[in-house]
Amino acid sequence: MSLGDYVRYLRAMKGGPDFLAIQEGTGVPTYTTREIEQRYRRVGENDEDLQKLAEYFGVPFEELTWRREKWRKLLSEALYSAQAQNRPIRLVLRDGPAFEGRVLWWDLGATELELSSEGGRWVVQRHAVDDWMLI
Amino acid sequence: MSGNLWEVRRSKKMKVRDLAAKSGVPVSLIHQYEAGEKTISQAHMRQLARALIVDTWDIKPLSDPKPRAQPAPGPPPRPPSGKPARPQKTSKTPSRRPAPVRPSQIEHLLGLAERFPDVNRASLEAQAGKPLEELEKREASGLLNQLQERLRQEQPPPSKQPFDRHRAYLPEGVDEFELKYLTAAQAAGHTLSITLLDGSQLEGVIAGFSPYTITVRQPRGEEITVNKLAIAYYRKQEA
Repeated sequence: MSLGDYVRYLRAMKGGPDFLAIQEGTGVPTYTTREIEQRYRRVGENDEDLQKLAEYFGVPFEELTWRREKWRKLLSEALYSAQAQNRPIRLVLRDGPAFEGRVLWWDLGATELELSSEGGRWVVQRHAVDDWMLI
Repeated sequence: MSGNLWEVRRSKKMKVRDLAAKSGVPVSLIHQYEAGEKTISQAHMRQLARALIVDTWDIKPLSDPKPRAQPAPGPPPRPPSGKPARPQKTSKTPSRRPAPVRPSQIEHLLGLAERFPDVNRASLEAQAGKPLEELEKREASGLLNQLQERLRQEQPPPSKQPFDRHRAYLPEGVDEFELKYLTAAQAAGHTLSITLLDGSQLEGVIAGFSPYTITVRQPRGEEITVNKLAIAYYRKQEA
């Protein structure tokens, strides 16, 4: 799960404070939080801001920093490579199972995998993917 | 009987800029239409007719040029003075030659002709009665309009799917694959088995969806809309 997806998830779990409320609670400007949530490139370079957000949401600082390395375009690249090279990919979901299979399609929000094991097909939401690996 | 655009406009006592403001057709284009340099497009014809409160067939698609205005009668001659009369200037305005065809028009004509099996340079020249290079700009415009109209009638654009959008086609810029998947699943009446991020399960036939939500109808008829952000994964089951 990218840093942006994780911050969006944390925001939802906290009752949905908007960016202005987060700014008032942390001092992190609204545009920074919005950028973190919405961008597909690598974001969240300022550790100080991430520290404040971690305190605000009550999660360890490292939970944010390691996700900073999993920005959305990296997942796009992995899905693209898996499909182009017809290689299976392993998607590890947040607090959930892992799916391993061939990419049938992928887009802005989801991907459909034909599982290697049982052969079934599942549509996985990209925001639920914590980690991934080309097999 | 249909009349020239400028005649109809004058009969309604409207100025070009008023007609432009009322119809939404640019002033420069109205001038071109009235000068007979362009055939009035169907869309503009409807707009102009509505603004002039006439039917579309009351206006000629291609206007005859307006007659040149007669010079207004001059002031009465001055009473003779002591000064010798200055020789009067005789302004001789040369008659205006019609604009010749533009090379881009010929290129466009030949490009459009390639899209029809029965149209080529020879047939266009036969229709015009002269080589394309000798056409006037206005004649070339008329031919272009004819071909474009025929193209619109014979080769209509493919109908758009509900999920077609004007977006950049970048890998992360489209969500059409998921929408196609859901469209097909809904049409086939498949049951969707959804697992949410909190581990809970939801099952039902797709009642509707948007880029951000999916609505499923459960066996008891209850409909539940779930935000995609709450979904971890799902699959369809055969009907």
